[in-house]
Amino acid sequence: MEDIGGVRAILPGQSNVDELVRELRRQPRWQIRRVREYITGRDPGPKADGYRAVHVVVERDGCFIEIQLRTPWQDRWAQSVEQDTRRLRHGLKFGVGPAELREYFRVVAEYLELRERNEEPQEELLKELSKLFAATRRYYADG
Amino acid sequence: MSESELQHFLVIYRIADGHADVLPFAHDYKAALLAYNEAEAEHRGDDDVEVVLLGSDSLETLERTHSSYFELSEKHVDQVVARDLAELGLA
Repeated sequence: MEDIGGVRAILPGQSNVDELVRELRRQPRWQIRRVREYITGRDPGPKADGYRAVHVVVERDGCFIEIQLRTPWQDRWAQSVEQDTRRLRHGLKFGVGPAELREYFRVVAEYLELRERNEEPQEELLKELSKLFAATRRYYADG
Repeated sequence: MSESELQHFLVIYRIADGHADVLPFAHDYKAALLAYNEAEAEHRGDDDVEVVLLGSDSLETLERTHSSYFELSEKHVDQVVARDLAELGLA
């Protein structure tokens, strides 16, 4: 654990996140120590649980700060996982918990990514989402 | 936002009922840290309470960047999926 501080910003879209990362690379005050793009097609790509964001670790005066940059849907997904981790006490955020719920969140993240890009999800993905939605009703109050 | 503009908030979150008490300390970091340490000591070992000290330019921003402590269930992605699948006749 090298980051001792953390900052989070929610930006309107992925292009805004990318622009901010470029700005961070250009500015001279903080040294960029690491950039991890948990984004489809980038390095290292989404986390296995579906988490999407860009994390930049900067160093200033010997302190490491992790800057988490998310789009609104990426954030909403992460906050929902966070909420369910507390509510269900399953350790969902840490990659443990019921397999169907973890798989549900992974597929939801994929679905939301397409939704945010205004792309139509394939029928296969919708079927999978629908199946997992049905399988996870017991975890939600009105299910 | 500079460090001097940062406001500090102590969040005491009760997991069972999903309720967050938010204590604002404005720019007084020392007082916020003291209150945090006291709350931490009070709730140590209590799995039902989470104590977090957060900084932000306003409570409004905090409610966005750490919405899992504040938001009601309609903001949960499951609600979005439920609505979308219902519209498609898949739920």
